[in-house]
Amino acid sequence: MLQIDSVALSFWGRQILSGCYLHCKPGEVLGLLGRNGSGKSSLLKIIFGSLEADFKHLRVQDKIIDRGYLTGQLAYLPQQNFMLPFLSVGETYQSFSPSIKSRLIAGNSVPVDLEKSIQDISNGQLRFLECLWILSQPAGYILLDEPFSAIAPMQIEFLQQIIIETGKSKAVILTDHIYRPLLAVSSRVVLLHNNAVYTIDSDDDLILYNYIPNMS
Amino acid sequence: MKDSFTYLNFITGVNNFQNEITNLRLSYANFRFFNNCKWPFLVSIYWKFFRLYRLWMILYNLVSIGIFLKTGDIGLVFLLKLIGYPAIHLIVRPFSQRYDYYFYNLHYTPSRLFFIICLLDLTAFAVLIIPLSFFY
Repeated sequence: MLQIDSVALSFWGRQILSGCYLHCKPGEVLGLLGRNGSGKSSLLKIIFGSLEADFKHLRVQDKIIDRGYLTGQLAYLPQQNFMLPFLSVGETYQSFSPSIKSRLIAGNSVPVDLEKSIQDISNGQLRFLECLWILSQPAGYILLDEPFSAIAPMQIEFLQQIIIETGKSKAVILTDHIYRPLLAVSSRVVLLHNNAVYTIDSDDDLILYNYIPNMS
Repeated sequence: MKDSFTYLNFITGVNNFQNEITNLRLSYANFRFFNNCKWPFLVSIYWKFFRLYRLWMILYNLVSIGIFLKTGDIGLVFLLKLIGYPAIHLIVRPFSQRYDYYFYNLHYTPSRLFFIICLLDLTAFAVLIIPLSFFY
């Protein structure tokens, strides 16, 4: 189980996070929603260890850890592109897990331009490859920051299947403003609002916390 | 009695020694560098990381060889190299930090990788330059 508690983060005197608590256990897909600037990405970075919090208490499998990425138990998809530009699509495809490869073959979705380098493919294709690369990592806890952004609907559907499958054995925490696909794959949804984490059971809760407009 | 006691000590000593050897073997087996398939993985990581720096590293090695051929002072060349590595890091950092998460996800910090790359580069440079210094 991953637990993070008492997180405090401030930038230039502005409090971004203060005392929020989040947990996720293997076999669970946790959807993390929140408005822009609510601190979702910062929270994921703090869990991963790439952002230093003013204070945090992070435990993974009952062990207190400081930098998650050094433990090998966490993988993190950041918002921005991060794949090395000189890698080829084929090299990246080779590093995918066997289950993802077989799904790509079954769905006839194997990238066609395997010789192309990463810098020559479109932003959407790159994002899709990055998502699959992160989901292929052997880490037990997968953190996905906006995996559905810039991706075509067909690929979103494919990613949803992979996330659901990954979430059966691993813990997945994902956050995205494209919230419908997120709600569809999440076994539990929480909303980060005013430094507190609220459990979301239905769309009404999202309206209640002013995350989506009331259309009725 | 004394003999048997000494003999027992001797036996225990051997056993301890054997245990230590077994433990040592086990720890070697668990040590990442000696684990199967880790070497190609590590080489590929270093190579991928080196490719971010290779232009500056190659340029700097050529400049260092030039300085050595001009002055013949091997100590000066190594001193300049040691000073130059942080400078290369600072030059390339604004570009390379976009890819930090790639290495984070492989459980490496970029600074640790850069340190290893510098050590490898310095070793390769020393292997090249030290025999040259004998002929200079």
